[in-house]
Amino acid sequence: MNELDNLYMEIILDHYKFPRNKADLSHIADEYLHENPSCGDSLKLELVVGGDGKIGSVCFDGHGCAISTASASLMSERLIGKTPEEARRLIDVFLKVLRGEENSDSLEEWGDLMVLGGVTQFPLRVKCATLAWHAARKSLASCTE
Amino acid sequence: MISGVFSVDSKAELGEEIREEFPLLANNSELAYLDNAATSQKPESVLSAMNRYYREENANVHRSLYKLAEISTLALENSRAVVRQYLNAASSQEIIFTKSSTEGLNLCAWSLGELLLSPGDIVLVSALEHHSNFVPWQQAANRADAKLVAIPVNEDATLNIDFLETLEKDGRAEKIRILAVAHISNAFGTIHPIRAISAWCRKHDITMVLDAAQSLPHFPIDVQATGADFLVFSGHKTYGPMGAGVLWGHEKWLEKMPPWQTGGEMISTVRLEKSTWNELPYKFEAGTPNVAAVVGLAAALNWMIATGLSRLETRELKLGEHAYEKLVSVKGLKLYGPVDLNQRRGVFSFNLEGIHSHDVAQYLDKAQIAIRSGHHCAQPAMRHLGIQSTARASLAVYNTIHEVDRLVDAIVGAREYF
Repeated sequence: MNELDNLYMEIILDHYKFPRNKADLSHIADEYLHENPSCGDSLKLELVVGGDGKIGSVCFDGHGCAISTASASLMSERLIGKTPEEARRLIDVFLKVLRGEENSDSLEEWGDLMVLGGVTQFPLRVKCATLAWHAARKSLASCTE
Repeated sequence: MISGVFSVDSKAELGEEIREEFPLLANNSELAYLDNAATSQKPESVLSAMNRYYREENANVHRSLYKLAEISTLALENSRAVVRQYLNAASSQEIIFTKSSTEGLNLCAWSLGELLLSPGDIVLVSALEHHSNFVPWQQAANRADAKLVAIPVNEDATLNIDFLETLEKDGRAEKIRILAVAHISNAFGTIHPIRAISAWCRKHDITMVLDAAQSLPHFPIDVQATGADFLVFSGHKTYGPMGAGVLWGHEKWLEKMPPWQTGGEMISTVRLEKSTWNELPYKFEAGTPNVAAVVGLAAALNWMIATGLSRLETRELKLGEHAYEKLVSVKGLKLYGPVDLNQRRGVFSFNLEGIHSHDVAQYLDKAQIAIRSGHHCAQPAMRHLGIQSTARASLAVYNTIHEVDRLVDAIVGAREYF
């Protein structure tokens, strides 16, 4: 089961079982739900930019597999404290790596997030890993440049 | 079951050697392929029939006069005859080849919708439908300014048939023009009470469309005994190739219905301002058909007949019984669908407490067990039952008791892993 352990690394299972920044977002209307049409997973995301122009909080809510939950959890930690512009750049790099357009070495300086690079070996799970990131990019698109 | 014309045979019980007739499985001895509700594997006889068609019989059909075109046309029409006989349809004109069940249902929704639906009418579906028997009707209703109503689902993934009475009482039954329902639910394996539904349709003069994509692979169907007006099925779930499906419809309807797709083959005469349509079934078969796939589909039905339809069914029932008993005994596993085995077939949809179906499926893949996970293209049903996704194991005749046992062992392994 070695190959499987490459996907379900300890960090991923930890973030799955104890997701960070997961909160009850039932006050957000269902029309703002981000969905993975291939599996029915859904996620809501709330991203708040503070008076200092930096992202003050990132919260998510929803139902997902280990990969999508861990990815949302890891992402939330990563984006807090970044400006929207910095966050957009990070998201674009991440999505490129997961699409196989950029080497996963690009994630080397990302700390725990690096483990998600392993998902590229499981093409059918890429959508799980990128759901939260697509949601964040959409949220950020409505922020001013 | 609705028994067909070939249901009697007395040969000995089918054994595991049947698996060897499927090259993909014979070449992957460790693979437990349990995603048969998505597509089945194909026996050697189907593969060789398709291969032979392209090597020896390929030419375009119907239009040319040379010998090879005649042979190719014969291959297509002989396949139609095989399907007609298998379904016990009244005539070959009622057998329309499509590329899939989805295409057959879209044809019905567009053409029958145009013929029958007016503003204020109702199309009745069930909340357990595959998206392919839900979305086309939703769109047809929208186009006609009609309404889509869904028969609700009970907790055990059976249809709440009492709802039909409600429709009678509140007067909505009189507005229903079309009822579209699956024979067996692809997500939960529930067998719906088709004959009771078709009798109800007769009573209210409702045209009934039956989606047999999940039932025809498991038992023969006599279309005339179903009481339905239309039936679709997919070749690729019935041991045949992808790219060929069947729409059967009552001639009286097909004659009245406008064509759906237009172009070559389906016309009689074409003038600048108007055209007239070819006779049945060609009116509904625009363009060059996928003859090789149709030949494969007929070869698959012939393979089932030659193997013995009752032997196939007996073996599957045994596998299903074993799977059910084993799965319900797994701690922390919630099995969806009817408790009564007579009300379900082929499909076992489940969740492991606290573990997402994707992760279960990924774990099983490493043990070379192929199952499906997700919403199974049945989001309305999932929403009705308050579940996001399930893991789904679905059986075919080549599966073995050992494979079912491996599935259960691996599920226990997944429970411990996560």
